[in-house]
Amino acid sequence: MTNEELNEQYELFVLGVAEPEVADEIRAKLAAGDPEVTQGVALARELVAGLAFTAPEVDPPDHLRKKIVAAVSHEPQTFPRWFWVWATATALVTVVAFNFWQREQKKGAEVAEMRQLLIAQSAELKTVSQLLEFLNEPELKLTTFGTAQPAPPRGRVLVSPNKGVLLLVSNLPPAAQGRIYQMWLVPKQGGPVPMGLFQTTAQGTALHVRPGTVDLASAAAIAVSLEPEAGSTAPTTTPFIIAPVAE
Amino acid sequence: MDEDLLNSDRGRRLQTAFEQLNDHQRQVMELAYFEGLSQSEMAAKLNQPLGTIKTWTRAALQVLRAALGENRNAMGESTGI
Repeated sequence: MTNEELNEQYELFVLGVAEPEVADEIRAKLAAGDPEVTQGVALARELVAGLAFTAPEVDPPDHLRKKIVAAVSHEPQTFPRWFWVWATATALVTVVAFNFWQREQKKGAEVAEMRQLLIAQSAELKTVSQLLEFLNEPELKLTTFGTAQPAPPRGRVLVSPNKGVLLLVSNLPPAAQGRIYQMWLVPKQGGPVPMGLFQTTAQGTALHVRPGTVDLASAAAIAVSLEPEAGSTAPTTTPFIIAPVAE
Repeated sequence: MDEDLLNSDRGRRLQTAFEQLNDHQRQVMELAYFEGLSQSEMAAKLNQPLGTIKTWTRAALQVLRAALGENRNAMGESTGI
């Protein structure tokens, strides 16, 4: 194939879904140091990583949202008893004080909201950064699940010994109120290891990253189960996704 | 921080572009991204000719690449969709 023809295949190559003969040709040109192909693949990695922005924005569970809001909000403002006595006697001052108090409360809420937004955006950027790091990993192991099932969910798991686990899932309805999805690393010996909680969008898609190191020699599979909102230390329901980790 | 802002801006543009894809273009990108299907596997799954899948994929990638403002003309990419 010419480089012009390969140009249409770089993103598919990065995603690991290019046809084998195309992937072989791109690999060969990368190995040979072809500058055009090298640049094309680099740009494709950026685009694929940026696709994480099209993945769901996960709403935190209620209990977590409350904790975040509590952590960033001002302490409730209290006034000494004498203030109220004095304020009752002077209605005008009371009105002024009340307005001031309202403004402070509103300001506090706005600050909390802005901090939440910043937290969410930071998390989003971190996810994209992690995805890009994953795609650059030379020892990346990739597996798919659910393709043989007539019904969803389907998806892919990327496991890197240095970067952790990245799960892409589709056709998975959002967990019901009070429930959440939990990813597990299933070792060849011993019990499943918790790998974080995630929720899906109304469209049934999710991208979940669990950074860290993974011992590929001892890892058997990546699994997902439905758990209580706070998560579990061990699966309380039968995992409905089990993706073997290819060695 | 500047790099983060740049990445964020690119991400937003990419998200907007993704939303502008038509149903076919979005479907092939989702099948590649979330389900890891190759173009021939997509053709079988969607019961469409391979050439049609390639056309949808090419068009989707051109929209997404354009959103990132990457100058690939020097690399031989056509600008039409």
